[in-house]
Amino acid sequence: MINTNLITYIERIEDIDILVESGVKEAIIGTSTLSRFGNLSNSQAQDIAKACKSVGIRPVLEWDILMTENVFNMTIKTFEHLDLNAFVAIRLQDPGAVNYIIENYPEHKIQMILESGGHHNLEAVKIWQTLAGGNLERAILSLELSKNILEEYIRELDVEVELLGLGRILLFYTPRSLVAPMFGTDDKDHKQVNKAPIEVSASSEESPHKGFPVIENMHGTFMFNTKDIFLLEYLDEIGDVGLQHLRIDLRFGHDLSLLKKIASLKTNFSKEKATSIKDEYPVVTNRGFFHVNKSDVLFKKLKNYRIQRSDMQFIGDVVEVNKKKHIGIVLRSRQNGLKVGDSIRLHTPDGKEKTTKINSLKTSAHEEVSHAEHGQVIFIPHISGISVKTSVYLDM
Amino acid sequence: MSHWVPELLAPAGSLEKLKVAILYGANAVYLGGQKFGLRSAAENFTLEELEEGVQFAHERNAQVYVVLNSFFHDKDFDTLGEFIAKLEEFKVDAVIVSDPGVIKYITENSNVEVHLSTQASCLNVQSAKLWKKLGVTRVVLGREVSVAEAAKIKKEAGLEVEMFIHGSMCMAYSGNCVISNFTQGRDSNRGGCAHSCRFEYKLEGVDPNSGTEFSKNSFFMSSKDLEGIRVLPEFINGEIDSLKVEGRMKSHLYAGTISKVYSEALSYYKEHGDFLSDELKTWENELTKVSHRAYTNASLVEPAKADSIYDEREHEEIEYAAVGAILEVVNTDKNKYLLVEVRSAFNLQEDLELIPFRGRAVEFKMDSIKNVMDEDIERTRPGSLVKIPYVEGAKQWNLLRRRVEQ
Ligand code: SF4
Repeated sequence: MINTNLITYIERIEDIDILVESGVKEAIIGTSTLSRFGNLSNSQAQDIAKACKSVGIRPVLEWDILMTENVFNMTIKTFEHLDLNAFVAIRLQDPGAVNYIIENYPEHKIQMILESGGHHNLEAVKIWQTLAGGNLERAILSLELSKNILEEYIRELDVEVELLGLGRILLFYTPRSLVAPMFGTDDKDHKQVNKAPIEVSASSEESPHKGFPVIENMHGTFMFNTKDIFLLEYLDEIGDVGLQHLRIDLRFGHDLSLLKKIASLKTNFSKEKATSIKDEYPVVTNRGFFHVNKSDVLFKKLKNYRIQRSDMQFIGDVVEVNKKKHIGIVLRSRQNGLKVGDSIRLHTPDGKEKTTKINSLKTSAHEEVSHAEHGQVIFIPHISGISVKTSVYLDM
Repeated sequence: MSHWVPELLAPAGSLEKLKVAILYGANAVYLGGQKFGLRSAAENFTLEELEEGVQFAHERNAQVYVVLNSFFHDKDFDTLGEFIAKLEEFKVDAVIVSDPGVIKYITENSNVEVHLSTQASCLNVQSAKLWKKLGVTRVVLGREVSVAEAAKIKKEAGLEVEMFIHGSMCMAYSGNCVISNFTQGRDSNRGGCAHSCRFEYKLEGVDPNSGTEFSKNSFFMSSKDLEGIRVLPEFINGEIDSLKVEGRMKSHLYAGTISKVYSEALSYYKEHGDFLSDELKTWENELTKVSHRAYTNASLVEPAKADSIYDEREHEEIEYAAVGAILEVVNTDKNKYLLVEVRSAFNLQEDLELIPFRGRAVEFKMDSIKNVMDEDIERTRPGSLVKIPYVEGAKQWNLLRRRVEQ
C-alpha cells in the first residue's frame, strides 16, 4: 500500500462519484475569476464544495492567478462574495493573495503553490512556513526538484508536500493576449468567463519539440510542454520518499475515469500497470526532472570565462599591438601605476602568460616618461605572442 | 527651483560600461558578480572590478546595486556569506534578490539593503507588504504593473518602488517562464534562457470565429522593447523612486546613449518642472539610434495590447554603430588630437559623430587619421589605437558613432 494521497481537480458536480470510487480525499475547485483555468461561478464552486464535503472529500479553493494591483482589486470583489466556509483550504501563488488571506482571513488554511519562482532551496520554502505560520498546511513544490532533494525537503519541512504527478507542465504565463489578435476577434467574446478559451498548438523550426499546447483565456496566455508529466511509474519511489500528496491533473479534455485505474496503483502497484496507464493516456509524457536535474550544468558552459583581472596587482589591458614596434596599454587600476624598471605579467585571452621588465615607457605623443598612472595610455616595446585584451599585472 | 526626479538606474555589464553609464548621466547602476546572477554570458565583475566600480560610482554620487537574482539551489548558500561580506566591505548600496531564501539570509546576516528583483513578480500592494515583512526596502515591480498602480503600491505598502523604463522585455511574468528548462535543459532562472519566446511558431487550431481549421506562422510570443520617455511625467507624478534600463548584455553605445537621453530629460524636468523642451524629439530620436526592436510603452499606462507583440523575425534595428571610445584628449601647444580605441572600422572622409556627456552629438568629417606612430592611414581596424583631429568639447571616454547603412 502506497500512502501518498492522490488529489485532483473537479469541474462538474457529476464527477464526484468518480472521485469517491477512486478513493480521492481531496479535490481542487477553480472559479473563473480566481483560477487560471477554472470555469466555475462562485455559486457552482460552492455547490461542488458542499457536495464534496458531504461525501468526505476535502474541497480546496484554487486562487492561482497572478494579479496586478487593478486586477487584484477586481478579484477580491468576487472573492469576498464566496462562502469560504465551503472550502477547507485555499491554494495560492501570488504573494499578494497570501498576504491578503493571512491578514483578512487568518482562520483559513493555505496551500502554497511554490512550483515557480525562487523555491529551489529549503530556506525559500521554509519562509512561507514562517510567514503563514500555522495557517500553512501544504507546500506545493516545483517539478524541477529531483527525488533526492524532495526527500530532504519532506523530512525537513513541518508542512505536508504536494507534487504534480500527472498532467500538463506549464512553461509560460503572461497576462497578455497573444493568440486572439490573430483571429481579429474581440477579446471579450472569447474570454470573459473562461468558458471558451482559445487553444492552439505551436511548433517552431527552431525547437526540436513540436506542438506546444497554448491556451488563451481571460487571465492571459499559457504555454505548456509538448509532453505531460507522468510520474506514476515511480509511485513506489514517491511513496518511499514520503510524499504526502500527488496531484493528478486530468483537466483539458481528459477522461476523468482514468482516475480509478490510477488509484488502484496505490493498493496494487506494479510498473507494468503504471505503464499500461501511460499507454492509455492520450498525450506523450515524460518524467521531467524526477530522477535528475542537470539544467544548470549546461549553462555553466555558456559562461564567458574570459581572462578577468583577479588580483590586486592588476594594472590594465592591452589596447593595441603593433608587431615589432609597440604594445599600447590603458592603465585601469587606481592602485597601481607603471614605472620604468617594473616587472609585468601579461595574461593573454587564450590563457598564455608572459613576463617582462619595463625598460621604456612612452606616451601616445612619443614622449619618454618614467612612470604612468590610472587613465593614461602608455606604450612599451613589442612582446611577441601578446594580443589585444591581454590583462597586465605587476609581477611582484 | 529644483524639482524632484526619480533615480535613473542603468545596466553595467562590465566595469567600462559602468563608467560609461555614469559619465553619461546615470545616477545608479546595477551589475552582476561572478556568481548568482542571471546574465551568465555577461562580462560579470570580479571582486576587484566591483570594488573599483563602487569607488568610481560613489565619487560621482552614483549608487551601485549588485544583482543576485538567480534562483538559488541549496548548495549556492555555501559561498553566499563570503560574497555578501565583500559587498558590505565595498559598501555597495543594495543587492537585488528574487529568492526568499536569499532575502532571509542577507537580512539576517548583513546590513546590506535588499531590493526585490522583478524576477519575483511583485505586482500589487499586498504582495509588496509581504516582501516588506521579509525586510526588503525596495521592490522592482513586474513589467505588467502600470505607473499608476506602482504609485499606489509605493504609497500603501510604504516601500521604494523601481520600474523598468527601457529595454527588452520578457513576455512572461518574470520568473514564470521555464520553456528553456524543459525544452533545452537550461534553467532560465539561473541564466540559461534560450529566448524561445523570440522564435517563429506555426500555430494550428480551430478559428473560434468560423470554426474552421486554422494555421498561421507568427512570432506571437515575442515582445517589442519598452520605451518610456513619453511616460516620464507619470513616473514623476507617481513619485516612482527609480527608473531602470534593461540591458547588461548590450553595448557601450547602448549604455551611454540611454543613460544620456533619460538623464538629460530628467535634468530638464529638474530645472523646469515640465518636459516642454524642444529637445523632446531629439531625445526620442536618439533612442532609435541604439540597437532595439520596435518600441512599445507596454503596460506603463494601460495593460499591454496586441500592438506590443513583435511579430517579426528577431532582428535589432541598428541605425548607428559605435566606432570607438576616446582614451585620451591631447590638447597642448605641441599636440592636439584624440586618441581613439577603434571598436568598428571607419574610413578617412567618413562622417562620424562624437557623443558628449551632455548636449547634442557633434558631427564631423574624418579628414585625417593617423596611427600611433603618426603615419597617415585611410582605414582603421578594430582593436587598434588611432589619432584623429581634436573635436571641441571632447572628453576621455566619450563615444564615437557612425550611421549604419541599412
Ligand atoms: S524565453 Fe522569453 S519569456 Fe521566457 S524567460 Fe526567456 S525572455 Fe523571458
